[in-house]
Amino acid sequence: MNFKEAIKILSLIFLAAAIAFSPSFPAGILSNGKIIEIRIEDILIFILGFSLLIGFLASGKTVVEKPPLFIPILIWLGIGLLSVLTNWAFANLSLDRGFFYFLKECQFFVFYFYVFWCIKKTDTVKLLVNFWLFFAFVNVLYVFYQMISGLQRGEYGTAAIGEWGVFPTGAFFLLLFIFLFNIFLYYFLQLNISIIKKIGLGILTFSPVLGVFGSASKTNFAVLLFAFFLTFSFLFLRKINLKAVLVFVLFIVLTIPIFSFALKNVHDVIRVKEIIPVFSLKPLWESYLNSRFNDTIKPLFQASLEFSAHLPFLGMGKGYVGEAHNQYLRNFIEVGFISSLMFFVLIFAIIGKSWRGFSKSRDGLAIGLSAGLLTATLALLFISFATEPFIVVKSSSVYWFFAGLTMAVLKLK
Amino acid sequence: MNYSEEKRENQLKEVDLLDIVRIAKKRKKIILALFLAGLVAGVFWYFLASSNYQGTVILKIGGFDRLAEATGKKSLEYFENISEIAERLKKGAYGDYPEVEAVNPLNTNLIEINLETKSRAQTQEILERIEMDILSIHNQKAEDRRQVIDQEIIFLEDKMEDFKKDISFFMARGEQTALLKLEIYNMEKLVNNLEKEKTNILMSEAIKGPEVVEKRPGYLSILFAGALGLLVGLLAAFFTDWLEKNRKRI
Repeated sequence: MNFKEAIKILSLIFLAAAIAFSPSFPAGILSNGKIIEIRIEDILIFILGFSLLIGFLASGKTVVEKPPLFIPILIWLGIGLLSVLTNWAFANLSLDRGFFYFLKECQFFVFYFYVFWCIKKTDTVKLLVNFWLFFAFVNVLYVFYQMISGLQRGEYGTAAIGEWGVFPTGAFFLLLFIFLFNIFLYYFLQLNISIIKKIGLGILTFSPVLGVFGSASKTNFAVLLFAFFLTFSFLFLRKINLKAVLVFVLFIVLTIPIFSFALKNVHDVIRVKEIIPVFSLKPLWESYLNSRFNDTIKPLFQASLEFSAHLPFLGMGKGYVGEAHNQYLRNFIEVGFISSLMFFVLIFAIIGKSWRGFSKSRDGLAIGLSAGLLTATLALLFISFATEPFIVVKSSSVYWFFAGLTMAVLKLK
Repeated sequence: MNYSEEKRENQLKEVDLLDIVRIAKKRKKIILALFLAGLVAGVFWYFLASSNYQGTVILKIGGFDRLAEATGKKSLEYFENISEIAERLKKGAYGDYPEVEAVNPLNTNLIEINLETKSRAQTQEILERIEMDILSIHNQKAEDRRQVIDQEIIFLEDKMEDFKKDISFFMARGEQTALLKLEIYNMEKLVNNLEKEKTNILMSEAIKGPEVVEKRPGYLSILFAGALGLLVGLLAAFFTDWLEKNRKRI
C-alpha cells in the first residue's frame, strides 16, 4: 500500500467516524426558521472532495471512472438545479433555502462518489465495515448508558452520539442494523472463525436495534419490522435451508430481550407500544392518518395544486417545502410531477444494481452489502410515505456511504 | 471485440473530461444562444414582471406567571403554545385567510407572519385582521385570568375579615389568637402575590405592525435567468451531440 492509498483509506475512516459521532453546530437560521446546522463531515467532505478534484486535475489525467448510478444521479441533480434556478429567476424561492437544501442533497452524492472512487481493494471495504461495526457499537453503548442512567438525551428517548432528533436517531440505527446485519448473514457467518466469534459478531451487528427502540420513534419501529421481513425474505430466497431458519429463530430470541429492556428503561418508548399490535395494521394506519396524512400531507398536497402554473414541470424549487412528512410529496412540489419521476428512475437503478449484486454475486461481502442496500432502499421507500428520509443528514450519510461501499465491491468482484 | 465496440465499452465505464470540453466547444453556438436568450428573458422579466406585495407582522406572545407547585419556581405560561400558533394559523384556527407563512424564531416568544399578495391594500388588510384576531383571543385570556385573580383576592379578603372578627371574639374571651394572625399574615402575602401577578400579566402585542413592501424581481433574477439559459444550453449541446452520434441506431 502506498502513501496515497493509505491517506485515502484514512480519509474514509475519518469520514465514517464524523458521520457516526459528529455533533452539529448552528451556523445561522434560514428564512423558514430552520437552523443551518454544520457537522464535521460537512467540512471534511468539502476538503476531501476538493482535494480529490485538485489531485485529479494536477495528475494531468482526463479520464475518470464512471461510477454506477452516475447518469441517474446527474439527471436528478440537474433537475434540482433547473428547478432552483428557475424559481430564483422568478423570485419564487428564497436564496438561502434553495442554496442550502440543494447543497445538502449534492453532499450525499459526493459521499457516494468519494467512497466509490477511493476504494481500490476489497480489503479496504472489509476494514471500513469493521470500523462501522465499532462506531455502531460505541453508539449503542451510549444508548445503553442513557437507558441505565436515566439520562436520556434524545427528543423522546435515547439519542445517538451527536444527535438529538427522534427520526434521525432511529433511522441512523435502523440503517446501520440493516447493512451490518446483512453483512453478518452473508459474510461473517461464512468466515472460517470460531462459533464464539460468530455469536459475538451476530450480537454486535444486531445491537443497533437497541438504538431504534431507544429512540422511541414509531415510524422507525414500523420500518424495522418491515426491514426484518425483507431481510428474512431475501435470506430465504438465497438460502432455503435449516441455517436460515436457525438465524430467524436466533433473531426472535435476540429481539425479545432487547425490546423488553428498552420498554423498562426508556420512558417514552410507550409511544412505540401504541403500535405493537401492528399485525392488525389498523392502529398503525390510524396513527399515520391522524398524525401525518390528515394533518400535513393532504392539506399540503391540496395547497400545492394552487401554487403555480409551472408546478407540474419545474416545481417550486428545492427547499421550498418546510416539512412535508412525505418524500414523494416533497419531490412533487419541489421539482414538479414530471421531474419527480426521475427520483424513481434513480431509486429503481439502485434497486436494479443491488438486486443484480445480490442474486448474481458469489462473494459473501458483495451479497451482504447488496442485500443491505436493497433492504435499506426498500425500507426508505416505505418510510417515505410518512417522512422525508432522503433529506435527513444523519441517516442519508450512512445510506450513501454504504451505497458507495456496495458499488465499489460489486466493481471489484 | 473490434475498435468501435471497445471504444463504446470504455465510454460506458469512463468519462473523458476532454470530450465534455470538445462537445462544449463544438456546440458553443447553441450554448451561447441559449445563454443570451436566458439573459434577455431575465431582462424582460425584470422590467415587465408584475409586483407582489409582501407584508410582515411580528407578534410578541404574552402570558402570565405560573407557580410550579413542586419546585416553587415561577415561570411564564404563554396564552398559547408558541410553536403551535404557526400551525394553527396555517390550519385556519383563527380565521379564514389566504396562505400565510408563520415562523417562531428559535428561543423567542415571537411569531413572524408573512403574506404575499398582488395588492398592497389586500396584504395590509389581511395582516391587520390576523393581528387583531390573535391579539383579541389573547386579550380575552388575559382578561379571564384577571377575573380569576380578582375572585381569588375577594375570597381571601372575605376570609381575612372573618378571621379578624374571630380574633376580636377570641381576644374578648382571653384566648390565644396567634394562629389566626399567622393565617391572616399568610393570606395577605397571597393577596400581594396575586396583585403582583395581575400587574405582571404580559400582554401579547405587535412589535412590528403590518409592514408591506413591494416585491419585484431584482438584478439577481437576470443573473439566474442567464445561468438557467447556460444550463439548458449545455443540456441541448450534449443532447444534440448524442443524437448526432446515435442517429443511425435510432
